[in-house]
Amino acid sequence: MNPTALFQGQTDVLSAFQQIAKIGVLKNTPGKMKDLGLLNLADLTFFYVLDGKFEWFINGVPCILLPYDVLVLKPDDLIHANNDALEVGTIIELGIKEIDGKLFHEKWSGISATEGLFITQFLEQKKPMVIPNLREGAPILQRIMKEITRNEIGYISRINGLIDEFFVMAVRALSIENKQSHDFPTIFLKLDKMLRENLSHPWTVNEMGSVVGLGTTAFTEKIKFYTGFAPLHYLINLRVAEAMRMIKKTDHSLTMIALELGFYSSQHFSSTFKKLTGFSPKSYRKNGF
Amino acid sequence: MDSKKACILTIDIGTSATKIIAFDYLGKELVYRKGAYPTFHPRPDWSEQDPEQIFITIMFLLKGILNDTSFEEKYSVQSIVLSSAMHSVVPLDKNGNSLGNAIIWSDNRACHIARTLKETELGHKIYQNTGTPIHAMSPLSKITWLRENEPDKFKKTAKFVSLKEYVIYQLTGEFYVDYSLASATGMFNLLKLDWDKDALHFAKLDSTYFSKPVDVFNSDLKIKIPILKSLKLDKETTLIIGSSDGCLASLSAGSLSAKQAVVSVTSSGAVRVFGNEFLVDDKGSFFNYILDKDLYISGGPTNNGGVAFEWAAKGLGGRNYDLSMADLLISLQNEAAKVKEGAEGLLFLPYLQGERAPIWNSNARGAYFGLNILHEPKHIIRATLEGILYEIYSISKSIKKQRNFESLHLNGYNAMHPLWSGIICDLFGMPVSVSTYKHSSNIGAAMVGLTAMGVYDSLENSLVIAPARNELNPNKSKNETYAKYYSLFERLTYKLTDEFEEIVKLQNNH
Repeated sequence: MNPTALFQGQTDVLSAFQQIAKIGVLKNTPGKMKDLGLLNLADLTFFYVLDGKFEWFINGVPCILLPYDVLVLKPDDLIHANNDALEVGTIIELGIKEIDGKLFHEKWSGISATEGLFITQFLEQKKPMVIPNLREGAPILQRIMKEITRNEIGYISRINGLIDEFFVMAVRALSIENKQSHDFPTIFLKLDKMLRENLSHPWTVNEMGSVVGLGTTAFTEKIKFYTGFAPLHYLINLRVAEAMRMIKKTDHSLTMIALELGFYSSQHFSSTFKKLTGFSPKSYRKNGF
Repeated sequence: MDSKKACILTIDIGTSATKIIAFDYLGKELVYRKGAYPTFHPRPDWSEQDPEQIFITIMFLLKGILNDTSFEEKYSVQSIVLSSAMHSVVPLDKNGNSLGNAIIWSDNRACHIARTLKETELGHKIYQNTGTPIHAMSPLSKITWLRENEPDKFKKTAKFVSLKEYVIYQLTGEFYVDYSLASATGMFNLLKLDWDKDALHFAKLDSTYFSKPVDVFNSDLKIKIPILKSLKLDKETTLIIGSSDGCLASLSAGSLSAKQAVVSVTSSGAVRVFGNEFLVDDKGSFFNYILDKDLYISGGPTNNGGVAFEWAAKGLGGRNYDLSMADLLISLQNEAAKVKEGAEGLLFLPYLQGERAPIWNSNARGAYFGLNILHEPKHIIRATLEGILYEIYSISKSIKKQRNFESLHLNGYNAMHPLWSGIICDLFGMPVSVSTYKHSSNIGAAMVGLTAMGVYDSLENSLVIAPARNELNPNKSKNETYAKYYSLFERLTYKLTDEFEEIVKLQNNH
């Protein structure tokens, strides 16, 4: 494979795929990556290592990348090479642009709005993200590149489908990474963090399960066993606990607090809050008696 | 009262979960609920919890029990009594709002403060009067850390409370603390039963920053009316303040005798003894908590209980994704049970998180000693368990210099496991009674509660509701083998002091 790269706007080949910011193969010979210095990307980018070994710092955190590893970089992530390391190898780079604020625009992607939102949130959760040993990713990326240059019949839908497939594969692999640990407390901590950071999101049990890489039934059972709570009850407790703080420590209106915490109406908020604390949000704000 | 059966609700605010259990007056468990919450580690040696979440968790559990018709129809709750983990600190502003997360017992951020204070004359005096070792876990160190590192938050703070006091405040609007929990702060004078003036002086605070200390039977607190209504509790329901989990769990041994020590192993571990006076030594290593007038619980704790076992289990069973953690631990313990005492010449130093009693060296680190090519994972697991227990044995040895106990009671989920209790029995060479009931803090809380209510006329008499126990007797030849391994264990621990120091430097530079 020749080192080639296609950039959106610089070639007509990509004009049918506005979501692709960049796709191509980077072949690194000794010394080249060092010249890169600091790389700051504008788009969500996958680096798929075909061969070689790379030692990079992602936002200051050292990462070692080996063949078949995928590095997922979000806009504003900073990468720079470790100047002491010898870096030789080949990488496939795939950059995906947000269009109208959407990573999965319906014009190109078959991924539904909810699933898209979920994948987007998932990709935002931790940095840096490395998927180890994603062997089945290489053929997909290589097929995308082949399809782009050959323009055979049906290539547009084919490529869009392959990009979706790559996304789903990557996110699943990341969530399996989470699951492959006996350590339920660690899994639980991850879920807890995800929920706390997105209390306004209309979570379903299904989505909560996917955060930790478990199906709905297994997830509900495990959470129940470990925490004593049904998943949605746990979430409600987090929301009400946060509400206690917001009511006392901010001057946000109760309606605003309700919406920020994912209650679908201020009545729903008020009744849930009262059920758990014994006080309506209003009287709790006044004096808590 | 109608035909409903009277019962008492016990709330144990633990480290990983709150457990609520209703008991009848004979100590029979009627209903059990638990609700877990996470511990956050914003930095590796910090440990925090969300106080509002813990309060809501308790309310949720109470609601679940009290609004359940099958419970409601049969039982009537007369009292609620509280138990809780020790050493947490929640700073509250002048309106009683929390100024951030609770810093819990396992948090080590204040280790430098503790180390410096421990060496001073004042530190020594504070220990003599409070009975709490000068250590990072103690709220005295944590509060001082806040003053030095978060001056803005410190300035805004009007009260420093524990998680239990925070929950009490939410329920009643009052700041009360029981003697037991107060005696875990490192700031409570055991003889005067009031905040210690030297400790206050060191913290640069006066006693208005702390709750009102009351005895563990105190039932002056009134739960706010809207909360009683929402929980469908009777207006006459009393709230009994109760004690700490460590003190209450010791009660479940069913004896207040100084002739019996209580060994407890959960994720951490401790050896405790009852006594009429407290136990201090020159090294400042024993803790002392007060349960009642002239009734102290003294002993030494270890950081490295089941935590070290789970750590080893994860490492050795790490590829076996099909097993859940609980199943993995069971299968590894079963394997390790087949290995002979002494793990065929393998020793483990369990100091994965530094160590408290009796070496009080936060720089101590773990090691396997004696590995040879024939050792298999099961030997490593066996050695890990034995190493944890050698450490606990060394705590008991230093207590024995001042208290001559002749038998043991075991509680905590690890110590209750047959493999662990067998090793303890043979290693200590003493008759052992093993608890058969997991929720020892809750049943201990019920004893205090029922005594406060007058159902039993003394704590001593309330011990009749202690759960059944299994008895074990030591095997002499196994005891002799363990004695040889233990002596090697002890020598290694002290021999490595300088090397621990050096490896920690390397670890910190990493």
